[in-house]
Amino acid sequence: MSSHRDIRRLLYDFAAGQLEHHRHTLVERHLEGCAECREECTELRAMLKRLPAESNPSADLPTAFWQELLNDVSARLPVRPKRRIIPAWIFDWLEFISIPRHQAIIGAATVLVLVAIISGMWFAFRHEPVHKHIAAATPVGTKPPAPAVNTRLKAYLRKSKVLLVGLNNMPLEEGTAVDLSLERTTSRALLHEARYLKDQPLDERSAALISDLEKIQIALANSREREDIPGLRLIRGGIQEENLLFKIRIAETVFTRLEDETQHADQ
Amino acid sequence: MLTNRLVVALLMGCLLPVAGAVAELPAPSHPPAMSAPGTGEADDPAYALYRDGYHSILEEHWGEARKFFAELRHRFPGSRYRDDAEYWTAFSWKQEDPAKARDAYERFIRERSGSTYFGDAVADLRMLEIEAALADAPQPPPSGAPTGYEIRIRLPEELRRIARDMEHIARAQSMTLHRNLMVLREGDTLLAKAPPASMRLRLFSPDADDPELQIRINALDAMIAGKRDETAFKVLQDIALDGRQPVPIRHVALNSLTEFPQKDPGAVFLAVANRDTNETIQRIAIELFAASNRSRGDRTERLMDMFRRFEKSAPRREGALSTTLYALATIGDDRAIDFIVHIARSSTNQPLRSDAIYYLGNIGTDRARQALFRIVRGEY
Repeated sequence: MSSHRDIRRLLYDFAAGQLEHHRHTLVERHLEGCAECREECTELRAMLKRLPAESNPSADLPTAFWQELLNDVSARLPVRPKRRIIPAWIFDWLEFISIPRHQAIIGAATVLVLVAIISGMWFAFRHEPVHKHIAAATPVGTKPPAPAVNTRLKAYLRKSKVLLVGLNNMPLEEGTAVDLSLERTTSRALLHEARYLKDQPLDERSAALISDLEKIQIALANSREREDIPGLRLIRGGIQEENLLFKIRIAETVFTRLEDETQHADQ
Repeated sequence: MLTNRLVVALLMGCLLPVAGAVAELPAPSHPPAMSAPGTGEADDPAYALYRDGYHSILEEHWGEARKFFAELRHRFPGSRYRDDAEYWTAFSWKQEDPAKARDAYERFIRERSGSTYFGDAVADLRMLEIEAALADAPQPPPSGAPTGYEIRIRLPEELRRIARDMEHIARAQSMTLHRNLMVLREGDTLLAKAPPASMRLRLFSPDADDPELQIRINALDAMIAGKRDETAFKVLQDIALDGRQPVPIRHVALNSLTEFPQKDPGAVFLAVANRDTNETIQRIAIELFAASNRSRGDRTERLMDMFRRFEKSAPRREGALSTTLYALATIGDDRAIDFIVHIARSSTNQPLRSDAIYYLGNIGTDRARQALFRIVRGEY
């Protein structure tokens, strides 16, 4: 047991001082000639020294660092509008409208202005689709948005699985080309859906899975209608390298469980 | 009890007639499948029907797909696309009628054990059984410890943990979005603009109402958003390793270490995964190490060593063992599969054996498929 790969496996135990004598010597000898392992060993030793922590290393940083960091945080926090002192003309205006004769004039003027605004808005927006309107910058209702995204995510995963299972089981014959027209079209639609989903509130596992799937979908979307076998093998390799079908199945199982829990909670 | 069912099915060895009369075929909703002269596709007259059926599956027109595949089976029973037709028929039933799907999958597994779809069929059937088990919940507790390869339907504990975790994160994000962000309306659907991926975890904090904690999470966020230099990496590393820091802060710090493309946080993950006394942090580090940029071989070997170490540790770290097994399954390379097979065959920890078989059934590569088949046949 002395290859570079074998020694790398012993590095953690070596750094933790848990190797028996002869293996310890073996690793020591290897480290003399291997800069990569030496570097990793140094790193590991440094990490292990801190676990469990005896001091707070972050506290050793200069005060200036933390000050700069806090300034950075402050700069990123949303700026609240400054409170303004009520100007004197507002009081004059309030005094003016308190006279009954003036109130009638103001009432009539207000009705006219409102009619003008409503008509203007109707003309301005009658051809615009509703979805382009920014409805509100404040919460809508009292409940958080419904988990519609889960339904779309599940559908996205199901379609991706169909695509990947189909590709994985496609018979390959050397020297021939494979028709990937359906796969190309489906991948393009899935890429579009992935872009939508990535803008939704997702947990980090789902987000990572979508990113992994996107790579395959991009490769397929850009493939030729009749792809040669090496090209297809490359795509299949990507699916297997990332173990994507396993990840999709696990995600589906987890979603099923979540749905089941939600249903039970509702009941 | 999938494996039992399979064993019984294999012993019986009965062949069920392929059901389903051939109905009138729908017109394909896409251009005809292209077959080039001289290719394998063109050699098999069933190819066009297979592509029509598969297209319907991609479009989720399940009934239409079944008609194409039934026609294929009827007209070309000896076609190389027969397995495809059988598998996708079962898959289409899975979306519409679980009982019919179960029959179709069981028949497929019984009759087509050499098919490249074998692993996919096993995984789908497993999923159906889990759905059925969940639908029938609450399940009665098992009487006594299972023996041999008798594995009751059981979702790995690890997946329950992930489900809880995902739910918390999604809920926290949803609430945060709801509170703070601009909301766009599309018809009746609310489209909330989510934060960038790098911020997702930072939104998740069980103590989000603690202002002190929140300001520190904001500080971390600012640091990541700023210069990703040596100092920032070191600070995150320090926080991740510092056992006195609150768990949410360490969680964010560990996760943020992956956002430095020029750096390898593997050593930090390894140290925390192997040694940390906080199980939550330890499990996060294991998952992050499994997903790190290191080579598959390196990740697999380190995780296998870690697993062996956890097995020997006293008291045994069950949570860490379960996460390490899951992490190995997510990598899914040949060595990981061999290791999972070894656990499925000989571990004395029954829940881990069950998890191992569950994962093997979901990996679906040739190696996993063969291993699963040998387990089913009792060859190990």
